[in-house]
Amino acid sequence: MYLKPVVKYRLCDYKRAIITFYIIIIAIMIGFFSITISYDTATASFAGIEMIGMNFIFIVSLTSFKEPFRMLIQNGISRKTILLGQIIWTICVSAIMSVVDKVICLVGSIGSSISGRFIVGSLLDQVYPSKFLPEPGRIPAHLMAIAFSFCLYTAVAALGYFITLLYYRMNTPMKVAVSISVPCFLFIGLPLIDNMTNGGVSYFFDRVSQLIFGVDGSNGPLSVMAFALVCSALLCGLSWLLIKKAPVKN
Amino acid sequence: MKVSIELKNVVKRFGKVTALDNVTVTFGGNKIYGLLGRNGAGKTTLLSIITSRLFADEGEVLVDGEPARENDRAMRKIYMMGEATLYPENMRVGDVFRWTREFYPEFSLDYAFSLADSFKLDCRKKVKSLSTGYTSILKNIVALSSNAEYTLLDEPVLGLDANHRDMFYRLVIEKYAERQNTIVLSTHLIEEVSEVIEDVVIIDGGKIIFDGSRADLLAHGYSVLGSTELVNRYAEGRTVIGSESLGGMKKAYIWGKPEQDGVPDGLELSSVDLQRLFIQLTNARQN
Repeated sequence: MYLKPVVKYRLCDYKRAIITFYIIIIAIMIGFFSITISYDTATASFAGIEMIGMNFIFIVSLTSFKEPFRMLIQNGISRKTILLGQIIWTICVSAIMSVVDKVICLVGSIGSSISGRFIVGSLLDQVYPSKFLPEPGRIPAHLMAIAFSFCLYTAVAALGYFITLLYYRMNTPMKVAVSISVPCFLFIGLPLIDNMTNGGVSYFFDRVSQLIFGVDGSNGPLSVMAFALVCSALLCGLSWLLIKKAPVKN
Repeated sequence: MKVSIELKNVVKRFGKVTALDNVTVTFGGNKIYGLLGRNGAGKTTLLSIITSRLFADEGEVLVDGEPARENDRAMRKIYMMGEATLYPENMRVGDVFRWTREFYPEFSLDYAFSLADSFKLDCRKKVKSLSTGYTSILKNIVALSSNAEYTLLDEPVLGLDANHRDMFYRLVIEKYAERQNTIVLSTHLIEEVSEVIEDVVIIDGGKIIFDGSRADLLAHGYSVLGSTELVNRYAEGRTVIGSESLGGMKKAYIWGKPEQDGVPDGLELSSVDLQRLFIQLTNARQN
């Protein structure tokens, strides 16, 4: 296995993007905090900072196949090692971002104590009632928040990588067909079916999301974390099927 | 342990086109090979299959006796400089060198930078800003500095001017003298590489039509010049791979070894250079 240089290359490749992302997040938070301090009527709320992180890691993952793949193939790395490198990269980046998110939330909560109109909260706090969560402010609560974002980031990154790999393997007519048919189905087809079934689709998705998020049971966030990890594993398996015979395209 | 790259009964198809047709060839250790073929003959496909950039539909590739397909250890014994540039467009030349060293621990950074200096290649430039010639130079520098056991160079002089081509061929010979590794030069510019290569593999229409030493190839072909009637008579029963006529004179290219004695009066036998022999061989197959 020649994983070390692969992971090093992948981490260095996106180091600047991740640092820039957090600089922007922190700058925005400082800006809004200053506004809430300066103006009595101004309020600012950063509830669920992980949602921005999920968008970021999804976009990063969407761009993380073609260029690294070509560079690594040029340097005699097998597809199996490339995928393993991607998995380790995902784990590392998700872990780093989860910890940084938690630190930002903690620092933000200091800001909240200075100005009551500056609110910072994690996605976990937003989604789940306190009965599902450990006692706030204690180490188990922090660890739970980190683990929760880690699982979500991992799943989103795996999804992004799978989508970009899927597109890479498709020929142009297939790409066009998928690019048109999927949004059409989601934004026209599903609402139509929902209408025809008197909200059957909405009910179905509502039930599934309750099940995944564990809000109607006793598992709470553990349920969604397990779901995210299973999805990540499945997407990695599907990515392997796509990458194992992927040719080098120009 | 076998020191070689072996292709056994390799078949590669692209739709209805058979790019490689049951190819069996060995690139043994410590030689400079010329992989010669016309455009579209299958040279790049063959090298791409060796390096797992493409996968064969049938057959197998062995590197030092072990299967090369998706084998990190085998793949890292080979550095292939291909026609396509696979380095990230926004990567700087110096960073290409540094990163290659991460993957090829034998890579000589000092040698790479000294070559870049010799070729006047600006190491601060991004890959995307390089001209075709300088992109080839970058890829050649990386390949020669990689110190891999097998260096595969696919059309290495693409876009290079005469001076740079001359420099490149000298560097190949110097590198070979220093490392004694296996170098495969894939090109359709036969005349230029004829003095560099030891062994020749000629590929045409996806088939290997010659695999042997350059000296052996040259000894297998000769030309006979004379009046059309005499040449035609001489050619009877011999393998004619091509001919040229001018007025009443004819020159025929014969595949085989010339007789040491008994050349009919009025005929002149002479040796054929590699390029001429290649042209006649590949034309003969097409006709």
